[in-house]
Amino acid sequence: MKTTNRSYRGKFRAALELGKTISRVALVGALVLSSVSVALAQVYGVRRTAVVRGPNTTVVASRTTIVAGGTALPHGYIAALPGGYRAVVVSGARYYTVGGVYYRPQIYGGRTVYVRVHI
Amino acid sequence: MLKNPRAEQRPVHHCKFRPLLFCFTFILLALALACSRAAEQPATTTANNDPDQLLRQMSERLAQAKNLSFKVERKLDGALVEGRNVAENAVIEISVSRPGKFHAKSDSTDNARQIFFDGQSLSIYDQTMKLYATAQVTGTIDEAVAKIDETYGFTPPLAEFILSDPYGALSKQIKTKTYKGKESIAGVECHHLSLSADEADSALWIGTADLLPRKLVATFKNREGNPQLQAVFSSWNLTPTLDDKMFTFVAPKDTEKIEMVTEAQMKEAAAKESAAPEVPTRKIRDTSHKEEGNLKR
Repeated sequence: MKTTNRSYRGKFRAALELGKTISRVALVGALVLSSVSVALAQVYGVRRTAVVRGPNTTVVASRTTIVAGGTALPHGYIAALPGGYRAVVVSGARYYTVGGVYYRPQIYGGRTVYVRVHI
Repeated sequence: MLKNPRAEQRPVHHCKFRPLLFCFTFILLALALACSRAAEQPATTTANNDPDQLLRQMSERLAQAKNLSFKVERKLDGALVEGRNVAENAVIEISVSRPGKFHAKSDSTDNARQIFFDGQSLSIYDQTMKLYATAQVTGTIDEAVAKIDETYGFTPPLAEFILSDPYGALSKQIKTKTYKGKESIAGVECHHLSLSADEADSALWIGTADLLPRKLVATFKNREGNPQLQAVFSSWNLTPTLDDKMFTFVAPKDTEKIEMVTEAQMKEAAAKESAAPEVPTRKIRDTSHKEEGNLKR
């Protein structure tokens, strides 16, 4: 009789363990699915998202950073022209010059930025 | 007579597990009862103070409008303005025609810009400098916002509010939502919600009568000085008459087309810079040199 009770207890425990495992798998599955569906993750137009896409354009990773003031543009780029600049046209293209330095305008991040060029 | 050992054991086993089964059944019943009561309660409370429900209702209201237009007074702290450290105050007028057209016009103290998207291309027009750039971006507004973000590294202003599912876009970032009570914003009674996310904590005010967003204040808590974005929404129109022409950019005279730099190109420039910081970024040939004079900035 003791042996039979033990076997039933064992089965009961096994069933409990199986239940726990199923719920863990379901929880992990739900988390993975929800993270995969993250394709748009901006914060009010000032946050930029790097989305990594897997096969069939599924999103496999998403990393978001906040655009930093003053440090976001690489060396040679400026967000606003210094005072006293002049516009000049070279080969039909517009440049801006100030203090002997020339800049070419570009649109980056939805705004006009200026890259330093040598003429 | 030989006794069957199993026949003797079964009743003993059943007797021992019966209380356990009773307990289990009782717990299940209690849980079911609690759930049914919990499901009944929100019917009386969600309309007033369930932040998630309010966010959903706001989202549905925006998503249901085929055409909509609104105005935003946006204040950005300097640390959130790319490449600058100067605060920016702008008045942004946004017009949307679902599923695939929008136009945003931004007027700030030193710059006027417009963004056009007609389902076929995206154009950014710097009205102050008379410059524009166009990129081939096709599809719905949702697809365009995702593509612009991925390729060009930015999102149109307050894009979350013009997507087909604003709730989905906002709730992906939000970790906790709290109802803070009713407050008045510019004379409009609003529900005040507090929303917490990894990057920013926000306060959102939703009109009690029309369930439209009225004010948003986002504090970027991981940034030095906790810079803020403040947006005050007004002039909501969920049934405007919008001319399709307004979503297509036609370059005015005296404007010049310039390049729209991708995120990848900018990363490449940054990589070159770190490899050789002293080397100039670009060289161009000087074939003709004509002075245009100072333009207004």
